Amino acid sequence: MELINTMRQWQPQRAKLWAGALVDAVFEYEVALRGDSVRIGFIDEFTEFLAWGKTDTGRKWKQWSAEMRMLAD
Amino acid sequence: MKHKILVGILACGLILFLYTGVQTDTEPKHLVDPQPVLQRSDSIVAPSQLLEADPASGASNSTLTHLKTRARLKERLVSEGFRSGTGLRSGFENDAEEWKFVQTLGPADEDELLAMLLEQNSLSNRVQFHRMLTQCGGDKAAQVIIDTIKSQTGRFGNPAEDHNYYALHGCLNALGPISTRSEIARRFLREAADEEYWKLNRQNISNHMRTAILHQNPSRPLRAADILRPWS
Repeated sequence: MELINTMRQWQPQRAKLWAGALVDAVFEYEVALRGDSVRIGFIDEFTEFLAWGKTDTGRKWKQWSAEMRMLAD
Repeated sequence: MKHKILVGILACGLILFLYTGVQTDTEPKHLVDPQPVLQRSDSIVAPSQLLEADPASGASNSTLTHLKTRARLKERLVSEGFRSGTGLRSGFENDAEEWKFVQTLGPADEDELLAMLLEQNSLSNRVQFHRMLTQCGGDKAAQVIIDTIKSQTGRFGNPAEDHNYYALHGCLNALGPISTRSEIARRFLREAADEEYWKLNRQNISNHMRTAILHQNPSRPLRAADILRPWS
């Protein structure tokens, strides 16, 4: 609920982008479990994010994000 | 007389026995290799004692220096060329330098990192500390970042500014790695991802927009387009 209130404080029309931020947080969580949270640079991180999106976890979260974006529209 | 001699012999025997026994009891203590004892006395010293002790009194100089420097994170950062207030950049010379330093961070550094983070009046200037906290932050770091997310409006300038928005987005990113060590972060992310909240948010936004539109022109009929795209 706190996050939703914050989204309303900022820009309601940008709420759907927060769904993407949460997906990023899940990705960062999995990277951190490997101990690589700061080690990998932006380009490598982006490449890994694309690969992660094809894993089971990545696919589920992307689907969740798409559904939440539809709710926010 | 014989009786006295017998008692005397028994008494001498008893004394001899006790003396031998005591020697037997104490000998193993003397047989302990003194080296480990010396090592223990060198290694197990309370940090407070080490910080106050003269290196000549027993604490090794390198250990003393190490503990002193660990207690001063700000100085360690400066010695590594770190600069605060660099906005969305890490503040280190390059990624390799940042990674090298971040590897030295531990839970004991969390408080000092948070103190330095709270000194920053710009949201984007906090990003560099968020990155470091992903390596060592726990519940305290999670709570500070969550509080940051919850108290944006009117504090860090216009929320529509992209660098602020990116920094706020980065707060959520940082909570991801921190959630590996913090239940507070995990709970926040779990609640934030709850579909029911998103449905509720949709209703709240709709009600908010409906009220705003009706307030502007109460006699005008409300159209679906007004609710879905009030600013278009």
